[in-house]
Amino acid sequence: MQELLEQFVTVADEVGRLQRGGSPESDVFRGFCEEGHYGGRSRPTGTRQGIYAVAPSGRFLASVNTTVKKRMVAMLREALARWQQLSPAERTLDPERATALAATRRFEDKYPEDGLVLAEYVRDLEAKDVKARDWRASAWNEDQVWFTKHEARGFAPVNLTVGHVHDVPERLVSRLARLHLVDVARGQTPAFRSNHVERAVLRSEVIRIEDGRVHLELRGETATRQRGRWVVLHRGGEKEAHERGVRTRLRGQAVWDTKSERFEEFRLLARGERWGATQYNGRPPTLEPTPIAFAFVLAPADHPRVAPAFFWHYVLRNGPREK
Amino acid sequence: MFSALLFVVSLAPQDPGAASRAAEPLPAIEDFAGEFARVLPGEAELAWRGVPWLSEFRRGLVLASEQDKPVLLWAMNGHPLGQT
Repeated sequence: MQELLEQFVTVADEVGRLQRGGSPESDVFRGFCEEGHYGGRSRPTGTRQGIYAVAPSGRFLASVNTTVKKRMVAMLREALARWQQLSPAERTLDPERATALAATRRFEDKYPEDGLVLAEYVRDLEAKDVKARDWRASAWNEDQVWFTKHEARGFAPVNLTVGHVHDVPERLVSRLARLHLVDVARGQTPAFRSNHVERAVLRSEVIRIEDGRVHLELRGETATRQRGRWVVLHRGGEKEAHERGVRTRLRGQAVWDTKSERFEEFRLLARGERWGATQYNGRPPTLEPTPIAFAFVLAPADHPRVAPAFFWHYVLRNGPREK
Repeated sequence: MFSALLFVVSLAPQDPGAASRAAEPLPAIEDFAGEFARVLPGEAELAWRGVPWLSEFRRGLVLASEQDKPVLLWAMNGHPLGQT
Protein backbone atom coordinates (compact mmCIF):
# COMPACT_ATOMS: atom_id res chain seq x y z
CA MET A 1 0.00 0.00 0.00
CA GLN A 2 2.75 2.45 1.00
CA GLU A 3 4.57 1.94 -2.32
CA LEU A 4 1.37 2.62 -4.22
CA LEU A 5 0.61 5.77 -2.21
CA GLU A 6 4.09 7.15 -2.91
CA GLN A 7 3.20 7.33 -6.60
CA PHE A 8 0.52 9.93 -5.82
CA VAL A 9 0.41 13.40 -4.33
CA THR A 10 -1.89 12.73 -1.38
CA VAL A 11 -4.44 15.37 -0.39
CA ALA A 12 -7.25 15.45 2.16
CA ASP A 13 -9.99 18.07 2.01
CA GLU A 14 -13.57 18.82 3.02
CA VAL A 15 -16.05 17.59 0.44
CA GLY A 16 -18.89 20.05 1.07
CA ARG A 17 -16.74 23.02 0.18
CA LEU A 18 -15.44 21.25 -2.94
CA GLN A 19 -18.89 20.08 -3.98
CA ARG A 20 -20.74 23.36 -3.48
CA GLY A 21 -18.08 26.08 -3.34
CA GLY A 22 -17.50 28.79 -5.90
CA SER A 23 -13.71 28.52 -6.11
CA PRO A 24 -11.59 27.13 -8.97
CA GLU A 25 -10.71 24.02 -6.94
CA SER A 26 -14.44 23.38 -6.49
CA ASP A 27 -14.83 23.68 -10.26
CA VAL A 28 -12.14 21.04 -10.73
CA PHE A 29 -13.83 18.71 -8.24
CA ARG A 30 -17.28 19.11 -9.79
CA GLY A 31 -15.68 18.38 -13.15
CA PHE A 32 -14.89 14.78 -12.22
CA CYS A 33 -16.90 13.73 -9.13
CA GLU A 34 -19.92 12.63 -11.15
CA GLU A 35 -17.72 10.03 -12.86
CA GLY A 36 -16.97 8.51 -9.44
CA HIS A 37 -18.62 6.01 -7.12
CA TYR A 38 -21.49 8.32 -6.06
CA GLY A 39 -22.10 9.92 -9.45
CA GLY A 40 -25.77 10.87 -9.88
CA ARG A 41 -26.73 9.72 -6.37
CA SER A 42 -29.15 11.81 -4.33
CA ARG A 43 -30.29 9.33 -1.63
CA PRO A 44 -29.77 8.86 1.24
CA THR A 45 -27.73 12.03 0.69
CA GLY A 46 -26.14 13.81 -2.24
CA THR A 47 -22.65 13.68 -0.79
CA ARG A 48 -19.74 12.88 -3.08
CA GLN A 49 -17.38 11.97 -0.26
CA GLY A 50 -14.81 9.29 -0.88
CA ILE A 51 -11.34 8.72 -2.29
CA TYR A 52 -10.61 9.93 -5.81
CA ALA A 53 -7.60 9.53 -8.07
CA VAL A 54 -7.36 12.25 -10.70
CA ALA A 55 -4.77 13.78 -13.00
CA PRO A 56 -3.71 17.38 -12.15
CA SER A 57 -5.64 18.36 -15.27
CA GLY A 58 -8.81 17.25 -13.47
CA ARG A 59 -9.21 14.11 -15.56
CA PHE A 60 -10.87 11.31 -13.59
CA LEU A 61 -8.87 8.10 -13.07
CA ALA A 62 -10.70 6.02 -10.43
CA SER A 63 -12.53 6.33 -7.12
CA VAL A 64 -13.95 4.39 -4.20
CA ASN A 65 -15.43 5.01 -0.77
CA THR A 66 -14.17 2.22 1.43
CA THR A 67 -12.06 1.33 4.43
CA VAL A 68 -11.33 -2.15 3.01
CA LYS A 69 -7.65 -2.36 2.12
CA LYS A 70 -8.17 -4.78 -0.79
CA ARG A 71 -10.66 -2.48 -2.51
CA MET A 72 -8.44 0.52 -1.92
CA VAL A 73 -5.40 -1.20 -3.43
CA ALA A 74 -7.45 -2.25 -6.47
CA MET A 75 -8.57 1.36 -7.00
CA LEU A 76 -5.01 2.68 -6.74
CA ARG A 77 -3.74 0.15 -9.29
CA GLU A 78 -6.58 0.95 -11.68
CA ALA A 79 -5.83 4.66 -11.35
CA LEU A 80 -2.11 4.19 -12.03
CA ALA A 81 -2.83 2.06 -15.09
CA ARG A 82 -5.05 4.83 -16.51
CA TRP A 83 -2.47 7.46 -15.61
CA GLN A 84 0.13 5.64 -17.69
CA GLN A 85 -2.13 5.88 -20.73
CA LEU A 86 -2.43 9.68 -20.55
CA SER A 87 -0.38 12.01 -22.72
CA PRO A 88 1.54 14.85 -21.02
CA ALA A 89 -1.13 17.32 -22.15
CA GLU A 90 -3.86 15.15 -20.63
CA ARG A 91 -2.00 15.01 -17.32
CA THR A 92 -0.90 18.57 -16.74
CA LEU A 93 -2.71 21.38 -14.96
CA ASP A 94 -3.81 24.08 -17.38
CA PRO A 95 -1.73 27.28 -16.78
CA GLU A 96 -4.83 29.47 -16.62
CA ARG A 97 -6.36 27.18 -14.03
CA ALA A 98 -3.08 27.15 -12.09
CA THR A 99 -3.21 30.95 -11.96
CA ALA A 100 -6.83 30.86 -10.79
CA LEU A 101 -5.98 28.28 -8.09
CA ALA A 102 -3.11 30.42 -6.84
CA ALA A 103 -5.53 33.33 -6.46
CA THR A 104 -8.03 31.24 -4.48
CA ARG A 105 -8.71 32.47 -0.97
CA ARG A 106 -9.54 30.09 1.86
CA PHE A 107 -10.01 30.56 5.59
CA GLU A 108 -6.75 28.65 6.06
CA ASP A 109 -4.99 31.77 4.72
CA LYS A 110 -5.90 33.42 8.05
CA TYR A 111 -3.92 30.83 10.05
CA PRO A 112 -2.63 32.78 13.07
CA GLU A 113 1.10 32.10 12.72
CA ASP A 114 1.96 34.33 15.67
CA GLY A 115 -1.16 33.56 17.70
CA LEU A 116 -2.45 30.58 19.64
CA VAL A 117 -3.48 27.41 17.81
CA LEU A 118 -4.80 24.55 19.90
CA ALA A 119 -5.28 20.98 18.78
CA GLU A 120 -8.57 19.73 20.19
CA TYR A 121 -9.55 16.14 20.96
CA VAL A 122 -12.91 14.90 22.23
CA ARG A 123 -14.12 11.52 23.41
CA ASP A 124 -16.85 9.91 25.50
CA LEU A 125 -15.78 8.90 28.99
CA GLU A 126 -18.23 6.00 28.99
CA ALA A 127 -20.33 4.31 26.34
CA LYS A 128 -22.72 2.00 28.12
CA ASP A 129 -25.27 2.27 25.32
CA VAL A 130 -23.17 0.29 22.82
CA LYS A 131 -21.22 -2.97 22.86
CA ALA A 132 -17.48 -2.82 23.51
CA ARG A 133 -16.70 -3.89 19.91
CA ASP A 134 -18.94 -1.19 18.45
CA TRP A 135 -16.88 1.65 16.92
CA ARG A 136 -18.89 4.11 19.00
CA ALA A 137 -17.47 2.64 22.20
CA SER A 138 -14.06 4.14 21.42
CA ALA A 139 -15.10 6.98 19.13
CA TRP A 140 -13.13 10.22 19.23
CA ASN A 141 -12.93 13.32 17.13
CA GLU A 142 -10.71 16.35 16.73
CA ASP A 143 -10.68 19.96 15.67
CA GLN A 144 -8.45 22.97 16.12
CA VAL A 145 -9.00 26.30 17.81
CA TRP A 146 -7.54 29.54 16.53
CA PHE A 147 -6.79 32.75 18.40
CA THR A 148 -4.90 35.70 16.91
CA LYS A 149 -1.90 37.16 18.71
CA HIS A 150 -4.13 39.90 20.09
CA GLU A 151 -6.68 37.35 21.31
CA ALA A 152 -4.03 35.02 22.79
CA ARG A 153 -2.90 37.86 25.06
CA GLY A 154 -6.39 37.72 26.56
CA PHE A 155 -5.59 34.42 28.28
CA ALA A 156 -2.70 35.97 30.24
CA PRO A 157 -3.13 38.54 33.01
CA VAL A 158 -1.94 42.08 32.39
CA ASN A 159 -0.88 42.22 36.04
CA LEU A 160 1.92 39.65 36.13
CA THR A 161 2.24 39.13 39.85
CA VAL A 162 1.99 35.79 41.61
CA GLY A 163 -1.53 35.17 42.86
CA HIS A 164 -3.21 37.58 40.47
CA VAL A 165 -6.39 36.17 38.93
CA HIS A 166 -7.52 37.29 35.50
CA ASP A 167 -10.88 36.81 33.76
CA VAL A 168 -10.33 35.65 30.19
CA PRO A 169 -12.57 37.79 27.92
CA GLU A 170 -16.00 36.23 27.58
CA ARG A 171 -15.93 36.32 23.78
CA LEU A 172 -12.90 34.01 23.77
CA VAL A 173 -14.41 31.53 26.24
CA SER A 174 -17.67 31.72 24.32
CA ARG A 175 -15.78 30.72 21.16
CA LEU A 176 -14.73 27.56 22.97
CA ALA A 177 -18.23 26.90 24.32
CA ARG A 178 -20.13 27.58 21.09
CA LEU A 179 -17.82 26.17 18.45
CA HIS A 180 -15.60 23.63 20.20
CA LEU A 181 -17.35 22.18 23.25
CA VAL A 182 -19.88 20.46 21.02
CA ASP A 183 -21.00 16.84 21.04
CA VAL A 184 -19.03 15.49 18.07
CA ALA A 185 -17.38 12.41 19.61
CA ARG A 186 -19.48 10.17 17.34
CA GLY A 187 -20.32 12.48 14.46
CA GLN A 188 -21.00 15.96 13.25
CA THR A 189 -23.38 18.34 14.95
CA PRO A 190 -24.16 22.04 14.48
CA ALA A 191 -22.37 24.67 16.53
CA PHE A 192 -24.19 26.47 19.31
CA ARG A 193 -25.22 30.09 18.88
CA SER A 194 -24.55 32.93 21.29
CA ASN A 195 -28.04 32.70 22.76
CA HIS A 196 -27.42 29.03 23.67
CA VAL A 197 -24.50 29.93 25.95
CA GLU A 198 -25.60 29.91 29.58
CA ARG A 199 -22.13 30.10 31.10
CA ALA A 200 -18.65 30.71 29.69
CA VAL A 201 -16.13 31.55 32.39
CA LEU A 202 -12.39 30.98 32.43
CA ARG A 203 -9.91 32.47 34.90
CA SER A 204 -6.14 32.33 34.75
CA GLU A 205 -4.08 32.67 37.92
CA VAL A 206 -0.37 33.45 38.03
CA ILE A 207 1.27 30.57 39.92
CA ARG A 208 4.93 31.49 39.47
CA ILE A 209 7.25 33.51 37.23
CA GLU A 210 10.66 32.28 36.07
CA ASP A 211 12.90 34.15 33.58
CA GLY A 212 10.00 35.95 32.00
CA ARG A 213 7.95 32.77 31.77
CA VAL A 214 4.62 33.11 33.55
CA HIS A 215 3.10 29.85 34.78
CA LEU A 216 -0.69 30.01 34.79
CA GLU A 217 -3.40 27.81 36.20
CA LEU A 218 -6.73 27.87 34.34
CA ARG A 219 -10.11 27.15 35.88
CA GLY A 220 -13.63 27.74 34.66
CA GLU A 221 -17.01 26.43 33.57
CA THR A 222 -19.15 26.35 30.46
CA ALA A 223 -22.78 25.51 29.80
CA THR A 224 -24.68 25.53 26.53
CA ARG A 225 -28.23 24.48 25.89
CA GLN A 226 -30.46 24.55 22.80
CA ARG A 227 -34.15 23.78 22.63
CA GLY A 228 -36.08 23.52 19.41
CA ARG A 229 -37.38 21.21 16.74
CA TRP A 230 -35.08 19.27 14.46
CA VAL A 231 -34.61 15.88 12.79
CA VAL A 232 -32.65 13.18 14.59
CA LEU A 233 -31.53 10.21 12.49
CA HIS A 234 -33.08 6.82 13.41
CA ARG A 235 -36.02 8.56 15.11
CA GLY A 236 -38.01 9.05 11.93
CA GLY A 237 -37.59 11.73 9.32
CA GLU A 238 -39.82 14.31 10.95
CA LYS A 239 -38.81 17.27 13.07
CA GLU A 240 -39.46 16.70 16.76
CA ALA A 241 -39.03 18.76 19.93
CA HIS A 242 -35.53 18.27 21.32
CA GLU A 243 -33.08 19.68 23.78
CA ARG A 244 -29.32 19.31 23.53
CA GLY A 245 -26.54 20.70 25.63
CA VAL A 246 -23.01 20.43 26.94
CA ARG A 247 -21.69 21.63 30.27
CA THR A 248 -18.15 21.31 31.48
CA ARG A 249 -15.67 22.20 34.15
CA LEU A 250 -12.44 23.62 32.79
CA ARG A 251 -8.99 23.13 34.23
CA GLY A 252 -5.63 23.73 32.64
CA GLN A 253 -2.04 24.84 32.81
CA ALA A 254 -0.19 27.26 30.55
CA VAL A 255 3.14 29.05 30.30
CA TRP A 256 3.19 32.56 28.82
CA ASP A 257 6.51 33.89 27.54
CA THR A 258 6.53 37.64 28.14
CA LYS A 259 9.43 38.18 25.71
CA SER A 260 7.90 36.54 22.65
CA GLU A 261 4.34 37.19 23.88
CA ARG A 262 3.42 33.63 23.03
CA PHE A 263 2.31 30.58 24.93
CA GLU A 264 5.08 28.01 25.27
CA GLU A 265 2.71 25.51 26.80
CA PHE A 266 -1.06 25.30 26.91
CA ARG A 267 -3.14 22.39 28.13
CA LEU A 268 -6.83 22.73 28.91
CA LEU A 269 -9.25 19.97 29.90
CA ALA A 270 -13.01 20.40 29.67
CA ARG A 271 -14.79 17.56 31.41
CA GLY A 272 -18.52 17.29 31.92
CA GLU A 273 -21.56 15.91 30.17
CA ARG A 274 -23.54 16.15 26.97
CA TRP A 275 -27.17 15.35 26.36
CA GLY A 276 -29.64 15.28 23.50
CA ALA A 277 -28.94 14.54 19.85
CA THR A 278 -28.85 16.09 16.41
CA GLN A 279 -29.25 14.58 12.97
CA TYR A 280 -25.82 13.04 12.45
CA ASN A 281 -24.02 12.89 15.81
CA GLY A 282 -24.77 9.24 16.48
CA ARG A 283 -26.44 9.68 19.84
CA PRO A 284 -29.78 7.92 19.70
CA PRO A 285 -30.91 6.08 21.68
CA THR A 286 -28.87 7.88 24.33
CA LEU A 287 -30.39 11.30 24.81
CA GLU A 288 -29.63 11.19 28.54
CA PRO A 289 -26.64 13.07 29.96
CA THR A 290 -23.42 11.05 29.64
CA PRO A 291 -19.84 12.04 30.48
CA ILE A 292 -17.65 13.59 27.80
CA ALA A 293 -14.23 15.25 27.83
CA PHE A 294 -12.34 17.64 25.57
CA ALA A 295 -8.57 18.21 25.63
CA PHE A 296 -6.90 21.27 24.11
CA VAL A 297 -3.15 21.33 23.64
CA LEU A 298 -0.73 23.66 21.85
CA ALA A 299 -0.63 22.43 18.23
CA PRO A 300 2.85 21.19 17.31
CA ALA A 301 4.61 22.69 14.29
CA ASP A 302 3.78 19.68 12.10
CA HIS A 303 0.10 19.61 13.04
CA PRO A 304 -2.25 19.72 9.99
CA ARG A 305 -3.19 23.29 9.14
CA VAL A 306 -6.89 22.97 8.54
CA ALA A 307 -9.56 25.50 9.34
CA PRO A 308 -11.61 25.07 12.52
CA ALA A 309 -14.73 23.02 11.75
CA PHE A 310 -17.03 26.03 12.25
CA PHE A 311 -14.70 28.57 10.70
CA TRP A 312 -17.59 30.53 9.20
CA HIS A 313 -18.65 31.47 12.75
CA TYR A 314 -15.17 32.76 13.59
CA VAL A 315 -14.62 36.46 14.09
CA LEU A 316 -10.85 36.80 14.51
CA ARG A 317 -9.70 40.13 15.93
CA ASN A 318 -6.24 41.56 15.50
CA GLY A 319 -6.77 44.45 17.90
CA PRO A 320 -9.30 46.14 20.15
CA ARG A 321 -12.74 46.38 18.61
CA GLU A 322 -13.06 49.39 16.34
CA LYS A 323 -15.78 51.87 17.32
CA MET B 1 -53.76 31.68 22.58
CA PHE B 2 -54.20 28.00 21.76
CA SER B 3 -51.64 28.14 18.96
CA ALA B 4 -49.21 30.00 21.24
CA LEU B 5 -49.62 27.32 23.89
CA LEU B 6 -49.14 24.62 21.31
CA PHE B 7 -45.91 26.32 20.21
CA VAL B 8 -44.58 26.45 23.77
CA VAL B 9 -45.48 22.81 24.38
CA SER B 10 -43.85 21.76 21.13
CA LEU B 11 -40.59 23.42 22.21
CA ALA B 12 -40.50 21.56 25.50
CA PRO B 13 -37.75 18.90 25.65
CA GLN B 14 -38.82 15.29 25.13
CA ASP B 15 -37.25 14.37 28.43
CA PRO B 16 -37.78 17.22 30.89
CA GLY B 17 -35.79 15.23 33.47
CA ALA B 18 -32.62 15.70 31.46
CA ALA B 19 -32.57 19.42 32.17
CA SER B 20 -33.04 18.98 35.91
CA ARG B 21 -30.33 16.33 36.11
CA ALA B 22 -28.03 18.60 34.16
CA ALA B 23 -28.42 21.20 36.91
CA GLU B 24 -26.53 19.05 39.43
CA PRO B 25 -22.98 20.24 40.12
CA LEU B 26 -20.24 18.62 38.04
CA PRO B 27 -17.47 16.85 39.97
CA ALA B 28 -14.16 18.69 40.26
CA ILE B 29 -11.18 17.71 38.10
CA GLU B 30 -8.77 16.28 40.66
CA ASP B 31 -6.32 14.28 38.49
CA PHE B 32 -5.71 16.84 35.74
CA ALA B 33 -2.72 15.10 34.12
CA GLY B 34 -4.32 11.66 34.15
CA GLU B 35 -7.67 12.81 32.83
CA PHE B 36 -6.06 14.99 30.19
CA ALA B 37 -3.93 12.10 28.92
CA ARG B 38 -6.99 9.86 28.74
CA VAL B 39 -8.61 12.09 26.10
CA LEU B 40 -5.58 12.34 23.79
CA PRO B 41 -5.51 9.87 20.87
CA GLY B 42 -3.00 7.04 20.96
CA GLU B 43 -0.37 6.27 18.34
CA ALA B 44 -2.56 3.66 16.63
CA GLU B 45 -5.45 6.13 16.44
CA LEU B 46 -3.21 8.58 14.56
CA ALA B 47 -1.61 6.01 12.24
CA TRP B 48 -3.26 7.60 9.18
CA ARG B 49 -1.10 10.66 9.70
CA GLY B 50 1.83 8.53 8.51
CA VAL B 51 0.71 9.43 4.98
CA PRO B 52 1.99 12.92 4.03
CA TRP B 53 -1.45 14.43 3.39
CA LEU B 54 -1.62 17.95 2.03
CA SER B 55 -4.62 19.71 3.53
CA GLU B 56 -5.86 21.69 0.51
CA PHE B 57 -6.92 20.35 -2.89
CA ARG B 58 -5.66 23.51 -4.64
CA ARG B 59 -2.10 22.85 -3.43
CA GLY B 60 -2.30 19.18 -4.35
CA LEU B 61 -3.21 19.94 -7.95
CA VAL B 62 -0.30 22.35 -8.39
CA LEU B 63 2.25 20.08 -6.71
CA ALA B 64 1.11 17.01 -8.63
CA SER B 65 1.43 18.87 -11.91
CA GLU B 66 4.97 19.96 -11.00
CA GLN B 67 5.93 16.41 -10.02
CA ASP B 68 4.06 14.70 -12.89
CA LYS B 69 2.08 12.55 -10.49
CA PRO B 70 -1.64 11.84 -10.13
CA VAL B 71 -3.55 13.25 -7.16
CA LEU B 72 -5.12 11.01 -4.54
CA LEU B 73 -7.89 13.05 -2.94
CA TRP B 74 -9.51 11.95 0.32
CA ALA B 75 -12.68 14.06 0.50
CA MET B 76 -15.04 13.72 3.45
CA ASN B 77 -17.92 15.51 5.13
CA GLY B 78 -15.78 17.46 7.57
CA HIS B 79 -12.07 17.83 6.86
CA PRO B 80 -10.40 14.38 7.16
CA LEU B 81 -7.45 16.00 8.97
CA GLY B 82 -9.83 17.82 11.32
CA GLN B 83 -13.37 17.27 12.52
CA THR B 84 -15.36 14.66 10.55
